[in-house]
Amino acid sequence: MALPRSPEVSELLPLKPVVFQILLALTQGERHGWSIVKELDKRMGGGRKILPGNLYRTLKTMLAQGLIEESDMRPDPELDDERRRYFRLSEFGAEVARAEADRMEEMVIAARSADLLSAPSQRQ
Amino acid sequence: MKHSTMSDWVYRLLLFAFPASMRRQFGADMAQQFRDLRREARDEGASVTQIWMLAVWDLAKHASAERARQLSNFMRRKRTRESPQPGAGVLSRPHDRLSRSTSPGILMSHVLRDIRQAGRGLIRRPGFTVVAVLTLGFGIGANTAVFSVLNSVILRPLDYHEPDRLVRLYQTQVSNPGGRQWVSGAAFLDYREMVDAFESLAAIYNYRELGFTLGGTGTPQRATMYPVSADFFYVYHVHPIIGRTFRREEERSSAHVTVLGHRLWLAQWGGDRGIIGQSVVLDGIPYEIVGVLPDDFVDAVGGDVDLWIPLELQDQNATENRGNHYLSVVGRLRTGVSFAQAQAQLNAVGESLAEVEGEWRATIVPLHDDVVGTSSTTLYVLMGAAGLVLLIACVNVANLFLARNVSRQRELAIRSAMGSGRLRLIQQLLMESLAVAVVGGIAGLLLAYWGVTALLALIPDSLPRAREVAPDSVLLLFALGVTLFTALLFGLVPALQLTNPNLDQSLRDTTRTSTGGIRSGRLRSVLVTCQVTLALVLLIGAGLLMKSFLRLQSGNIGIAPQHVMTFEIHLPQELYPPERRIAFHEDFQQRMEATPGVLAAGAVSWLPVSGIYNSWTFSYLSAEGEVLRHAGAADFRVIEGSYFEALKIPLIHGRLFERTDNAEAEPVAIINQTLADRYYAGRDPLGQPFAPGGSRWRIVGVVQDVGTDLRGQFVPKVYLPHAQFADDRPWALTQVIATSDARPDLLDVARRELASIDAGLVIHNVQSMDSVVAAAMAREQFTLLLMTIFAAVALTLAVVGIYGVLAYSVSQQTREIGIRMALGADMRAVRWAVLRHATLLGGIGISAGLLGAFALSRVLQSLLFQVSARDPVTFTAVPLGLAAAALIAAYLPARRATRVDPTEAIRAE
Repeated sequence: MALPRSPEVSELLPLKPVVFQILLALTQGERHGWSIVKELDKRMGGGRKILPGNLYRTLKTMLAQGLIEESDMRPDPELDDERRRYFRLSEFGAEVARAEADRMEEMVIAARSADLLSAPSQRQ
Repeated sequence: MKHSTMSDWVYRLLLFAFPASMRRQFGADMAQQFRDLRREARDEGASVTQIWMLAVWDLAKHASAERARQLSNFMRRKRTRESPQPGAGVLSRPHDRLSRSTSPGILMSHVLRDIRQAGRGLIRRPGFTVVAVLTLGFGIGANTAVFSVLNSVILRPLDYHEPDRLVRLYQTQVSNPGGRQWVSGAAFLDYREMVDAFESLAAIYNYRELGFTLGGTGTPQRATMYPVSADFFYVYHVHPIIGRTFRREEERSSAHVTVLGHRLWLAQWGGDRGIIGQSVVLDGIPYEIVGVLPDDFVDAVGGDVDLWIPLELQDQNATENRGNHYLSVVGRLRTGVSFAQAQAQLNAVGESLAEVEGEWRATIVPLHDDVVGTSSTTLYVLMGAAGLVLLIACVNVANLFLARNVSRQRELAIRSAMGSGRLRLIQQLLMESLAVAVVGGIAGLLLAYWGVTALLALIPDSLPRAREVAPDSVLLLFALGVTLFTALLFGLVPALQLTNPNLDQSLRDTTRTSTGGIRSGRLRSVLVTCQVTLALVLLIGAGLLMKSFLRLQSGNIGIAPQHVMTFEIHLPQELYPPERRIAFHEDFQQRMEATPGVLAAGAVSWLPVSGIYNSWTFSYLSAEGEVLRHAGAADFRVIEGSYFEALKIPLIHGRLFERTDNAEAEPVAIINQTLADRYYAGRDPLGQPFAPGGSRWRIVGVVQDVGTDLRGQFVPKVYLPHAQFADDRPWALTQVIATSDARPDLLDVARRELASIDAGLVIHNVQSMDSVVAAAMAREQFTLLLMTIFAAVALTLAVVGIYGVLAYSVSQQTREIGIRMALGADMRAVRWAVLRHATLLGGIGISAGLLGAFALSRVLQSLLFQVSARDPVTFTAVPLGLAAAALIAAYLPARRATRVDPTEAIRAE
C-alpha cells in the first residue's frame, strides 16, 4: 500500500516520462548531461536520443522544482577540458520519484484487475 | 584553448534563440552535448546532417517554449502587481475588459496561433515554401558570410588591449609627404627618447631574410625570427605565460636571449613549462629561452613569427646610418593623449631634428588602418553587392507572396467580413512572412557557415586578419536583423495590398480578372522592374571587374613564368660567412644547370610581381661627377647566376653580370629601362656611376622592365651582383630554376644536390613562378568570383521574375485574348502585346539600372585596372545582354498567348 503523499509531491504528479527517467538515472549517482543521455538511451533501448534543448530545459525545470541539485564535483580541468556540469538527485526528488513509482504501481494493479495484464507469475 | 569547429560556432549562434539566462546557465553544456552527439554519429557512421536537422528542430521548439514561459511568468508577475485593490468595485470592469482584449497575454496567444497557422500554411504549399526559403536563404547567407569577413577584417577592433591607442610610425620626406618609409635606427632612438606622447614605442626588424635554422633533434627546421626592441611586447600589452620578455640593456645582438612563440613552444618542447633558462640552438649558436608568449598573440606587423630576439640598438655602427630605413615602428599613445596631439609633438621633434634628419619627418597612422590597408574597398563593394542580391531576393519573394495572395483573396475577405480587423489580418500575413524569413534565416546561417569556409579557402593571403574570421554575437545580431528586415520588406507590401479596404469587393467578384488581380499584377510589374534595375547594377559591376581581370591577365609583366620553379634556401649566418655564401650559390646553381632539362638557374633577393621591397635612395651621377639626381628612390635586387635568363628578361643595352664581377673587381650594376629613362633622360647610362651610401657603382647594362605587381607598375630598379654585395647582409636569395618543360621531380633533384653540399640546409617556400603570378592576382580573382556569383543569381532571379509576371498576366488575360482572337486579331499582334509588356518592364528597369550603375561606378574605380568605371563597352553590352535574356523569358508566355483557343477561353469563364 502506498504511503500518503505530501501536497508538494502530489502537485508534481504525474511526472512527464522524461522527468521520471532522469530521476531514475540519477538514483545511481551523480551524472553529467551526456551521461544522462546515454543512460536514458540504454533504458529506452536506443532509438532517438534526447536532444540538448529538450534535456537542458527539462533539467532547468527540475532544478527549479528542487527535484535535482547541481553537484560541486568537477573533473580536474587539467585532465579534462570539457568542463561539464554534474547533477544529483535531491531528497525531495527521491521522494517524488518514489511517489511516481507508487502511482504507476497502482495503475498497473488497476490494469491487472481490469484483466488488461496478466499476473507477473503467469508471465512466460 | 579548445579548438572550435564551424559546426560549434553555428550551434552556439543558434543557442542565442534561448533567453540569456538559460544560455548562461547551460549554453556551454548544450554545445558540449551537441558535440558529443555529432562525434557519436560520426563514430557510428550515422548521418551528421540528420543530427543537424533534429538539433535545429529541437532548438526551435524548446527555445520558443522557453521564451513563451518566460513571457507568461513576466505577465503573471505584472498582473499580480497591477491587480485592482479589493473594493475598487464595479466601475473598474469596463476598463478591465478593454485591457484584456489588448493585453499582452491575448496578443501572445494571437501570435502563437498565427505562428501555428503560418507553419501549417507553409507546409501545405511545399513548392512555394522551398523556393521562398531558398531564395531568402541565399540572400541572407551571402550577406552573413561576406559580413563575417568584413566584420572580422575591418569592423572588429584589433585584438589587443585598448587597440585605439596603437599607432604605426613612418618616416616621410617634407617634399613627398605621401611616401611613407620605414624608420632608421637612429631616428627610432631619437623619437623614443624625445616624444613623450607615447607610453611606449617599439621597433621590429621584420626583414624576410631573418630567420633561423633550428638545430637539435631530427631534421633541421626553418623558424621565423624577428629582432625587436625591448618595449615591443609592452606596446601590445602582451604578457608572457612563463618567464619574461626583453630588457633595455639586452638591446644588442650579443645578448643571445630569445622569447618563444606559443606554437613553436608546443611543437618543439611539447609545452614544457620548465624550459625557461634552457638553451635553443639557432644557426649553431645557443640562445637562452627567457619567456613564452600566449597562444592568442599575433604580431600585427610581423605576422606569423616563431621567436623573437633583441634588436641591436646599442652599437652605433648599426644605427647611425640615417639613410637606412629598415625598422617597422609601432607605438602606444599615452592615456589621454589624442592622435592629433601626438602628431603635433612628432612634428615639433621632427623640426628639432632637421639638422641631422634633413627633410625626414615622422608621421603616425592608427595601427588598425595600417593593417587593414586597401582591403576595405574590396570588402565594402562585396558587401554592397551582397546587399543588392538580398534586395533582389526580397523582391522575388514579395512577388511570390503577391502571386499566392490572389488565390487567398476570398479567404481573407470572408475573415474580414466575419469581423477580423485589418491590423489583425496584416499581423497574420506578416507572421507568415516572418516564418518564411526565419526558416530562410536559418538556411542562410547554415549557408553562411559553408560560405565562410569557402571564403576562407579562397581569401587571398594578401587580405589581412583573414585568420581572425570567426563568429560572434555581432554576427548573429546581423543575421537576425537582416532576417527581420527581410521579413518586413517582402511581407509588408503584399500584406497591405491584400488587406486593402476594398477587400469585400472580392466577395462580389467572381471573375478571375478582379480589381485585386489587376492591382496585384501592376504591383508585381513594379517589383520586377526593380529587380531588373538591381540586377543590371550588379551585372555591370561584374562586367567591369571581368574586363579588368582580363586586362590584368594579359598585362605585360616582362617575364616568362612558365616552367619556372622557385624556392628559398637560408644559409645560417655563423656557418656561412660571405665568401662561403657566394661559393654555395655558385656551386648549387652549377649543379642545377648540369641537370638534364634545366635551362637556367639563378637567384634573386625578391621575386617579380611581389610588390616593392628594398626601396633605397641613391645619388645618380654623370661620368664627370655631376649629380644628376639626388636621393632618387629605386628598388634594388641582389641577383646571382643566370637569373635574367631563367625568367627571360631581355638585355636591352650593355652586358649582363659575369663570373669576373666578383668581390675583387670594380662594383657594377644593371639598371632597368624605367630608371634609365627617368634618371638618365637623354644620356647613355652605360659607364655612369651612382652612389648608394659611400661606395660607387658603375652601370654596365640596361634590362627590360619587370612588373612590381600585375598592374604593370614599373619602378626604377637596380640589380647588383651577389658576389659583390654579399657583405651587406645574409641575403635570403630565392632560387629561380627554368626548365624546358614541366619537371615534377625537379625538387627532388634540388634536395639531393643540396644534401650533397650541406645536409643541414632546408628548401622551403617552394612555388612555381606561375603560382607567384596567380597569388598576385588572388584578390582580384576573389572579388571577381564573388561578384560573378552574385550577378548570376541576380540575373536568374530577374529573368525568372519577368517570366513569372508575364506568364501570370497571360493567364489573367486568357479570356480577353480569346475574345480578341475570336474577333480576328492577328497572332503576331497578340504575341507583340505580351512582348510589349516585357519591353516596357525591361526598358524601365534597364534605364533605371544604367543610371544606378553610373552613379555607383565611382566606388568601383579603385578596384579596376586599365578599365574606366564608366566603360562604354560594358555599359552597352551588359544592358543588351540583359534585354536579350528578358526577351527570351518573355517569349514563352507570348507563345502561350498565341495558342489560346478562343472558344475554350470564353467557355471557361
